Amino acid sequence: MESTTDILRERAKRDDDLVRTLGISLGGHGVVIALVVFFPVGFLDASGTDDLDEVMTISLGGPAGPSLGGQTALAARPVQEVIPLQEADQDQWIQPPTPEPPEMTIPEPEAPRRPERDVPSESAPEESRGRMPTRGPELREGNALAETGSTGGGLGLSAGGLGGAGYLEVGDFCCPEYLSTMMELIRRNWNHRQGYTGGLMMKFTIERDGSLIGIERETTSGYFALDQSAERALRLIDRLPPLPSRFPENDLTVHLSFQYER
Amino acid sequence: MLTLGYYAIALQSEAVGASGAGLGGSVIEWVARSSPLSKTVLLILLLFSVASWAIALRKMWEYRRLERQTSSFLDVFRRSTKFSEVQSVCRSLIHSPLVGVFQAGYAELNAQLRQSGESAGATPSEGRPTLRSFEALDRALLRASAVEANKLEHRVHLLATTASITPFIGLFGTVMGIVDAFVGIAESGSTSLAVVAPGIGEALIATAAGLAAAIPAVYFYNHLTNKVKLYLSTMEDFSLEFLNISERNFT
Repeated sequence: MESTTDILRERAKRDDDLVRTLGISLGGHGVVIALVVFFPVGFLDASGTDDLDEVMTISLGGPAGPSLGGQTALAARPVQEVIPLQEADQDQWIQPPTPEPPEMTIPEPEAPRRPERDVPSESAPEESRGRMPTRGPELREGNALAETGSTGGGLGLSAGGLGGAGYLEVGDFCCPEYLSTMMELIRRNWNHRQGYTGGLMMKFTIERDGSLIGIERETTSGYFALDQSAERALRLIDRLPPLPSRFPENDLTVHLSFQYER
Repeated sequence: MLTLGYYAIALQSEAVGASGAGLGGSVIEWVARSSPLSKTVLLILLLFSVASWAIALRKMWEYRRLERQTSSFLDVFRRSTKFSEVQSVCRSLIHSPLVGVFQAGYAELNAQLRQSGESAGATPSEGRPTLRSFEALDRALLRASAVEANKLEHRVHLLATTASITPFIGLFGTVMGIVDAFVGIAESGSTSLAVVAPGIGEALIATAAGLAAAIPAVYFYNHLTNKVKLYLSTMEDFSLEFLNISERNFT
């Protein structure tokens, strides 16, 4: 009969074959890593990677905005303000009818006379007939900057937006004035009034020497004519000014939106 | 496993058809491009994770076997009328901690009874043997409990270590990666996102890996220590029961 201590010593011996579970664990980790590697695209990022590309927007459609030296104050917009009502001058519009011109003037036979300077008016002014033109408070397009609280991107083309947009494939393009030149050149060849509304995106790449390559349509407006017109506007430019020397890349890819109005 | 792999590859090819490089691709790219330091950090984290999962799986498996054997041992123990019967089944239920406690108690009991039998051999007036030291039996049971508790808790502490250390290791890797990224910014002189983002993204992988190693370890550590506590109380209960029976029969 063995003693208590012998039994305890016997029990205290550990039988751990950790090798097998180590193998299982290693295999499991391998599978997990393989799953991460072979995971379907876009499963883990909720919004999709395309949104990340949009860094700045350029608009071609609509009227050109105020020229602010390339820095557009996106946060500020023109507001409509009411002109204070002016006290109308009563005398200005209640006037006695002008006297009738004399029936006839008898010419002096001798000397030819100079024509009279003040030609009498043929008819009485509108006001004299007692009909008052309506004069109310008028709206005037103001250009005062109103603080709207939002801040602008700080970089962009100075153009008003009518939904048109475009973006560059670089994060911070150094030279907005280059972009405005580019837009000006493109706008010369392009008419945004074609009788149809619609919009399309064009993509092209500007080489270092200013030549345009890789002109392609990204989205269609649905009308062949509009698509053609936009493409033509780009193709007609044989050469833009060379890319600014401060810009480090060799080429600049631009996505440009063309918005047509009726 | 193999079908899983095929599934992943099928998904991947489909996805590649749809668009460009995926998240997985970029992660692998980043890892491949990262500095030796962050690769080392990732390797250490992988080792920790593998070890902690291995221990957790091993312990879970062990505890399941242990529970099965304990319940059948208790069954036998409560049904039988003699300790020798119980002793005979102990061979087959060796993994239950109660078996260790029982064997120690039984050995101590036997030793004492034999001694008392020898001394009382001259006067066999009493029909039944008596226990000489009740405290000694209690101590033997206590010792056995301690040995079994040590066995149960063996290596579980490594899970706690993994749970507390790996986030810090991951964080260390991230901080070093961000330092690298800033050095990169300083060298290129550009603050554009394109320069900063890959470095920081790459650095953050280390933190993610640290968390991925720590979270299961925390869970398993809590789960296993809870089980150990349960087994300890079962052993305590069994010791008391054993003492009661001994007292009833041998005094």
